[in-house]
Amino acid sequence: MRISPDLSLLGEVEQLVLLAALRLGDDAYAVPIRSLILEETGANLSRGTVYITLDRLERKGYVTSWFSEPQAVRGGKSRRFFRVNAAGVNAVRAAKGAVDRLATGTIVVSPERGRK
Amino acid sequence: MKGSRVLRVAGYLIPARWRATVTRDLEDEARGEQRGLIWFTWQCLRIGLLMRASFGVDAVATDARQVVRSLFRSNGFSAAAILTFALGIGANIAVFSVFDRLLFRPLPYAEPGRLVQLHLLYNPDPKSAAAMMPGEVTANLIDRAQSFTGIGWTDGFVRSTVQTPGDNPLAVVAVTSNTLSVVGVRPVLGRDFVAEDADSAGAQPVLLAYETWQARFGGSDNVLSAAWGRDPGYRVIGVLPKGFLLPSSRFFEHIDGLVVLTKTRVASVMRPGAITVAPFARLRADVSVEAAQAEVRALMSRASWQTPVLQSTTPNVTVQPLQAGLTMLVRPYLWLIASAVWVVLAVACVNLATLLLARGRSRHQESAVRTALGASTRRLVGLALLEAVVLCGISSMVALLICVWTQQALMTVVPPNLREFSVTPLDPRIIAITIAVAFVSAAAATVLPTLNIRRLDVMSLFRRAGAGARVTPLRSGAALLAVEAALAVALVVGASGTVPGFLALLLKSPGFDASDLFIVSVNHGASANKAEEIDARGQRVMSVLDVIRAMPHVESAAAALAIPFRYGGSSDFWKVRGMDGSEWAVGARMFETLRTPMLAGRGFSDEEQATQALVSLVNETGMRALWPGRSPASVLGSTVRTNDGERRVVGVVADLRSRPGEAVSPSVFLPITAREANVSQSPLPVVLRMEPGSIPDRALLGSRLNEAFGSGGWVEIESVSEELAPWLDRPRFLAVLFGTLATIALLLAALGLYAVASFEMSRRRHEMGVRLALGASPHDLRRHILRITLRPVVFGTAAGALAIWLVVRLASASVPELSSRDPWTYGAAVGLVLVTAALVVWPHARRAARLRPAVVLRQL
Repeated sequence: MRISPDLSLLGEVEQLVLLAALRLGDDAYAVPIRSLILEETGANLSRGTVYITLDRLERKGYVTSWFSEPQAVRGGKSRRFFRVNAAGVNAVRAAKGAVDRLATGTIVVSPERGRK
Repeated sequence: MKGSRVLRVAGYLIPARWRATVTRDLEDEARGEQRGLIWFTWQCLRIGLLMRASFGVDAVATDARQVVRSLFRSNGFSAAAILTFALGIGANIAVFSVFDRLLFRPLPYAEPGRLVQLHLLYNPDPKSAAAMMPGEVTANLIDRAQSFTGIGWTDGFVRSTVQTPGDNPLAVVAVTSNTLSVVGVRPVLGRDFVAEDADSAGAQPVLLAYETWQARFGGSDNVLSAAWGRDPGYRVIGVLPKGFLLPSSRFFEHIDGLVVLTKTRVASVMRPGAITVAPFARLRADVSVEAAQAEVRALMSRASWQTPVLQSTTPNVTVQPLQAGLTMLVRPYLWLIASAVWVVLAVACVNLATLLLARGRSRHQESAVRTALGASTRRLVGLALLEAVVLCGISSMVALLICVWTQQALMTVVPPNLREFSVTPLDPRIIAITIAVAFVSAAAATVLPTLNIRRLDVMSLFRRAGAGARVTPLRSGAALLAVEAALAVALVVGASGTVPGFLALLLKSPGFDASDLFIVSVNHGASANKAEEIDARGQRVMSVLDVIRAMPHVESAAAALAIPFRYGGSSDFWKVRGMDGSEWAVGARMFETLRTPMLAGRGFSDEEQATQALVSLVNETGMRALWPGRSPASVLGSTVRTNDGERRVVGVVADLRSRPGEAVSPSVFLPITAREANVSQSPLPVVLRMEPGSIPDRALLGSRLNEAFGSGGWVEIESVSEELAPWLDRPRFLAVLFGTLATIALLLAALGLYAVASFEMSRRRHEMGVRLALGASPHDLRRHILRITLRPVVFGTAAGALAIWLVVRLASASVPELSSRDPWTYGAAVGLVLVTAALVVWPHARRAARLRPAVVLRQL
């Protein structure tokens, strides 16, 4: 079921998963997404959280998924890859922009960097 | 990976659409990190549970949105369902907010589980204390029983103190000095009784009820210096906590406070032959009720008694938890009322089920489409359940709000002492119970609709939709209607036991008009000299009356030795004639003041009162007893023999009742002065009728009497209507409750029947068209429709009448209001439900009979 994207901003985990998927490009599936987030941010998301977030992002229409060729064994399974589409990129951009605008002028962003 | 069967089983925890992806990823990780089967299973478990919970919440939220949208679209159905369930659950909330503390919560004492009631005898009169024990037995237990840390009791009397400064007397109960320490309650102000209070010669110490402290003493701390009366008089030593409950089953009597039993009184009650009332005790920490019972039994078998009745058999003293003992007599009523509201809730559930069933049938097409598109039966059932939960949830909120708004009105019909136990419907416990009941009811209401969904056959549904006209009988709906009718009959029969009784109390005049009627007790001019001349006493009566009659807004006043509607009892006048009856000494204008009609003749004149004339009056029942078959006018001038000689009957008055609803006893009335010589020093009771809406000015009356008789006297004024009110409390409560519940049940049954009839008519429209086209007359059609819709109601009413007859037989021993059921009551209840049903169905039948076959058949 597809949830119509609305004007609400992405959640923190959704942002992390989308950004990791963008970084991974065509190699984006749940295991490397989780590892990349852990490596880059130190956030140790549970595996279940990553799957739930990917499911939600797909229903919101921010990512699309496809299946790889199945393993070359009897009953072999396919790996499920994800690709961030334009709506997903816009959503990350909007969320990041909102955070940046809000942070401007606060101690989170130094005045020097804020002027650059 | 090895153990692939285990992996498959573990993988089933993960939602189907993610199962392959997740297990594939986990297999990769397990291979890379050298993980084994346990790790894999554990990860499946964690991921699966998390995903199922998250997807479940998402799915429920989506479904809930859909259900709410659909309910908004079906305004009529939603309004009917919400009204139905709100009525059912509202009645439950209202009643449980009153009874919850009494039936299901611990008593307001410290460690209530350790409090027990002891009794040997049980008094079945619900207006007085229930548990009793011979004083000798109580004394024995106090001296020898080791199971208890303390035993308290009362002597069973509600005393009226002489009036407090500026107000009327207080109703107090004398208890043992250890009462509060045994029940573990501390006064909110002042101190508890101490043992020395029992032998103090001074003013009696009083512990005021919190409510009396607020109402009569303005909640002031200065109450501790309040003292009144003489020889020995009373003084306030403390204030009991709010809602204090005396452990003695006096739920229907209000008390203003406690006084302590004096040592002399204790000794007189402990002697052989006397009775202690409502004994209660606190168990030692390590003693169970059973152990205490065993010890008491052993003590009783070893003891020797002076009371003769105890010598013949070993007293079988019962030790039972205090809560069970306290509610022993009111419990049948409480359970009866609780059962009645549950029946109403059951009717509401049945009604909701009927509505859901009808709605489900009207949506078969939609369900078929959903099923064809891949919706599982579980999902359809889940949707039906969710719809019921949403409906019940909204209804519960509506019901809670209505209960909050109507609580004040409800409290006016709840007997005062039960009122003190009630809690607000917004009490967390009540809200929690409401939510639980709503969910259980929603589940119950969806059982039948769910079964219907499980039986759905998509192909036949589509075929039927195409064919249009085939109609199957609504079997489950008919069964529900029958159940509903049965429950409605049960409640109507219940109401018939209480409502007419209460109406009779209201309509059956007690023989006088209680509004604006007051009783003034005056002790001014009372002489301590017993040998005082009768003339002087007569003069005193006339002088008091002169002062009272001269007061502003007084319509009339009459003196009496005892108020005819206050006291009963038998007199020698009737005993010598082999009857139980009363003899009253009343003054001139008594019946004019009471507004009791004279059936013949006249009342006493002032002159007859002053001259002690040998005249008398009889009441109607007395006249029939003395002169059977004679009319009131014909007995005037007859004579009756009294202690003073032959008296001429000058009037016959209508019957007076001692209490509302009580039987009338034969009575003879004599002029007051003839009996005055028997009493002295007593206050003179005067019946006073004020102008409508006026109340007597106590201070003014006191000062005028002081002027006439000198200071030192006191006046007590009581409103007769207020005095009689408690006697109407319980009948009114039961009548209003059962009347309301029966009305709700009837309304719900009518609503359910209307929904089913309406639905059936829309389904059978084509069938009716065909029948009319084939030659059926409108009359035939009306009869046909009435028959198919009313048949289940007829079966239901018969079953309901039979069921309630059995219940009444079982419960009538403990609930007197249910004891007198005659076949007419059942017939009337069944008739009422049937007539209501017929009235509801009739418009549909009439509309169907007016169908034009050509129009209907063209729409096929």
